Amino acid sequence: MNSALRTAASGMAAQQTRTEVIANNLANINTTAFKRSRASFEDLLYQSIRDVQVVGNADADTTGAIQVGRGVRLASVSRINAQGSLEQTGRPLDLAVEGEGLFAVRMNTGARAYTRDGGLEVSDQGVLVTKGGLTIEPGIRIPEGATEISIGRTGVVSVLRPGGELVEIGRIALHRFPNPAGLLSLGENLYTETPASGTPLEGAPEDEGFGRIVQGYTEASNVEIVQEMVEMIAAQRAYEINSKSVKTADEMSEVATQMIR
Amino acid sequence: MTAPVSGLGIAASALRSAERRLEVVANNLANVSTDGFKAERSFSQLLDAAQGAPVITTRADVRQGDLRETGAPLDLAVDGEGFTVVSTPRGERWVRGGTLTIDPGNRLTVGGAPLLGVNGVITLPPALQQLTIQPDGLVVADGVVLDRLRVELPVDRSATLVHEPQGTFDPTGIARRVSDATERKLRQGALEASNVEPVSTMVEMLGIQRHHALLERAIRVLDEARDTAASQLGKPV
Repeated sequence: MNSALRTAASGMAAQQTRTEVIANNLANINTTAFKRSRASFEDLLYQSIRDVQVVGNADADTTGAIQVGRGVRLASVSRINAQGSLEQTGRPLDLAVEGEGLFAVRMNTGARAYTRDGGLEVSDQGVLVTKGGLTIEPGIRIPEGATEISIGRTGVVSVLRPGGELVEIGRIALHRFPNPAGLLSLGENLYTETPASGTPLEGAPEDEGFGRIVQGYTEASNVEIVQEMVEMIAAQRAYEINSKSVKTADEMSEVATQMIR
Repeated sequence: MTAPVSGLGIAASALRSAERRLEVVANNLANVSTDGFKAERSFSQLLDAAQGAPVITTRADVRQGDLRETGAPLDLAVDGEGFTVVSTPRGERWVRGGTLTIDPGNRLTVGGAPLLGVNGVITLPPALQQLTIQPDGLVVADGVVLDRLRVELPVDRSATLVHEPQGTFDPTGIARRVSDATERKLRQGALEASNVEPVSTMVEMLGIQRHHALLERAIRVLDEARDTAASQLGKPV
């Protein structure tokens, strides 16, 4: 009886986690290049109270097994890396990736991180940095006095020098992973490589398998409100159902306890 | 084994059966949103009339759950009958597809266990761009056919499958066959939802609770009868 209580409690905990994931998706509905996550669950150990067996003499019936499962647990929270829609900003330093690929940045610790958020700025050193102030790799320095930064679909950055001369000053690289869902979220729209994601493959935008750069746009969050709301309703109902299991198990043990009065 | 022949003994063992059935139902409800989960059904079986109380047995209900489109290229569902095969440390296991992952060794896995093709473990090329799993099970990476997924099913459809964690089944000891190309239907970008029906399962739970209460009442009545016997029979008339 206690085990039914515990099983139902594991169901309630699972639905709670699911709601937390949905809440985080909804909270990031306006976060640039945010990728929604999905919680998935797996069943727990089955206790075989009795295996399939033959009772009594040889011509007796075979009795079935008794298997009682012990609940549910969170299997994974996986990120859905679907493309978010592109939103026009008109700002020359806003870059969106249409298709596969992430920008690489150098973190303050010296380690590399990856991001889909291409809302760039120019630092006081004249270097292209993310909104968080991290230098993008390979580093691109905007020469003094340059105007009209233009970034092509293949990532080539060119500026207009004083005097009207158009010069190429660098190229933005993209990186892709064998299993992008395996990347670890660091927050601030950053991801880092893990054994699960595999090693990154560097390439230029519009190379085979890489997306292209779109200047003057940012990638919106890929969270869809309606889908999240439906998920939330389902999670709430499932939570309620499990609470009924708790109630039933409790009432049954109450009845059993009251046998002796 | 001594058979409980007294009314009290029968009622007590039936009470225990009701509790077991509740545990099974609670597990089904806990897995109402576990993808690929198959509900466990409990049945009462009267083994031996002399023994009185029924014995419960359970079996996995392998009916298909609803398929839902996720659009994720690594989600795989089996439409119709059959199981994909994974290799675990305990041996080969059956699983109804699921969310595939690519492990550090570039192998295609489900729940951490390598998915098996006709030629064994499926290793993907390192710079994979597009993975396609065709309805007939062909695994195609960037236009190159890698392998064909093994899809198997029990010869006897009523065979009892042993449930294991992570939505897997143990096919050991079950006569199995490879599914025909015509009945094999894999769906990439879809997942199979749990086949637990919340409403009917709740009704079942209600029934168990009532049955349990009735048994408790039976025990009380039997006990009162004994009380009467003990207190009244001894009295001088």
